Amino acid sequence: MIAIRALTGADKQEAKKIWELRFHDSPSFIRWYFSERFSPGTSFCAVENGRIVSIAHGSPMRLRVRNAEFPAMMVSGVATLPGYEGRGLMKRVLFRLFENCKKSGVPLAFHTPSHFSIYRALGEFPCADALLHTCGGDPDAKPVSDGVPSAAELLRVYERATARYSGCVVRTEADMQKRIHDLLCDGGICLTHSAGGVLDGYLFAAKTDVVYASEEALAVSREAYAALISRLPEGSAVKLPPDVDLPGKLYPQGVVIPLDISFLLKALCGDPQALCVRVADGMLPWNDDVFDGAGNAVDMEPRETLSAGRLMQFLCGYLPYKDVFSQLPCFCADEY
Amino acid sequence: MSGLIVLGDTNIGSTSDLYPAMRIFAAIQKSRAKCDVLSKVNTLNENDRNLLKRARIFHFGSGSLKSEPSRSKLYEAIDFAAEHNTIISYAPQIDLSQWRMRSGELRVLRSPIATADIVQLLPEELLFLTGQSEPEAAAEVLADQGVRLIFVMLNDGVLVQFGREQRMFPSNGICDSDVFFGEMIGRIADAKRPLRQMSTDDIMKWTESVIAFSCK
Repeated sequence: MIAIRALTGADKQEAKKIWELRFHDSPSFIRWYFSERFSPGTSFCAVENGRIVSIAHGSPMRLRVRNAEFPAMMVSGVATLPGYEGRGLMKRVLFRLFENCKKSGVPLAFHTPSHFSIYRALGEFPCADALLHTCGGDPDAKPVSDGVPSAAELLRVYERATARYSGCVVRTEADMQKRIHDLLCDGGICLTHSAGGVLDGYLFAAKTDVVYASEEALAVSREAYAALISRLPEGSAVKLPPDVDLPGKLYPQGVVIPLDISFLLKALCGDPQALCVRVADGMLPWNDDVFDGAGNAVDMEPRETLSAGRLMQFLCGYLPYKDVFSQLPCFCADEY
Repeated sequence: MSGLIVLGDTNIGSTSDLYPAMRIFAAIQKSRAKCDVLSKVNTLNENDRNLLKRARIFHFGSGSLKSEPSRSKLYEAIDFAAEHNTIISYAPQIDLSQWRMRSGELRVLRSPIATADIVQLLPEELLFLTGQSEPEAAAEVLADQGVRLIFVMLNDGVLVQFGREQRMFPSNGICDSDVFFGEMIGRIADAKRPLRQMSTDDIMKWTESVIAFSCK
């Protein structure tokens, strides 16, 4: 008999063991995650005979979409034990997590899928891209870490660099401090760039064999990006926002899930006449309805038919839709 | 009606016979599958919905993605067709003179991949649509995004990926990508089975026989 329930503090060790079993993360990262991110009240699991067999972690955050801030849930560590796959447990656990968000007034969830194909079946589409830049330059460069600026200084750069992006996490100074710990927990380095004595860019990177991989590099100008990247040896890989004017591979990076279509339409469209859309959502039944542009459920013949995942792409600005939703640069810096 | 393929490029018939969708239309008509097109009106109407419900395959290129109102109508058609378990097929056939390939436009051109079951790519499209220039790696990128069947048209043959299996089919001549693709989706539509129930052998056998007359 399978039961679905929220995690409790007592589940921490078992949840940690599942993470170790299912993901190839370093022990230091896992220690960091369960010390800084583990949030039992917003994470859910499937239990059989007292044993957790499927799990999804939820971490409360805030997301900025079209210049409006919303409470949002970052989903991570979605895993099912071997032998329990293919029984719909992941879907049931995620449903409970999303249902809990809706009840708590959280209209959005987001995550970075390892494979989009897995989440496509749940109706989730990409809502943010990233640019993977491979460094040219000196193959023998040996970057020396600069002193790590304070969380407040780095936060100012983060805010200036990401202000233009829809779908990006809004960080506090405490969030920035957690992220610094994450980026340095595997012995990473921090490179900084200043103009006129003011910090205007930073890059965190970790060594992988002979080159480096940077999970977070943010700056306020192309020059600052280029200067930071030039310090890494040839072949190093740097994840950048999608519109940085540097060569690289653009790839779909993040998914945003609309947990409350009615709320989101009201907040991001607001005009009842703009739409009369039938939303198809096979996962969340309260989204599966006909709405006007102000998010009211209406008893009318719909003019448009869209899946919930597609509508989220329009709401975010990832894709344009008629003259109702304009296209915007979309990017979400990782949170772990 | 089984074996029906609906085409989503609504300006079929209004342009010259060089227009790719029209050539695919002609190729499908040579197969046993039947073919129809969405209406030219700006929104998805009742007739369009009925067609998409009955269709085995909904196929489109990138032409309708360029501007409104065809782009939004196409998104609605894709979502409606997918909801009714119609196979989604995308052959971008990008007119490079029409697109600047900045990140916003790339997002639009790539957007159907998230729902497509079948994708056909030309060599010059690989980098734009997948970030990879090698055909094998490009096909893997699409498979990772959930595309079940991928055809990469090359100068010397066709690379096919079905699920996780890849196979290169060399040809003795230049392949007509429209004729090839029209024939392939015609056969898939005529098979009257969901794509996930088709065997790798079926797909590879059809590819081999279609190449024999579309690549000369």
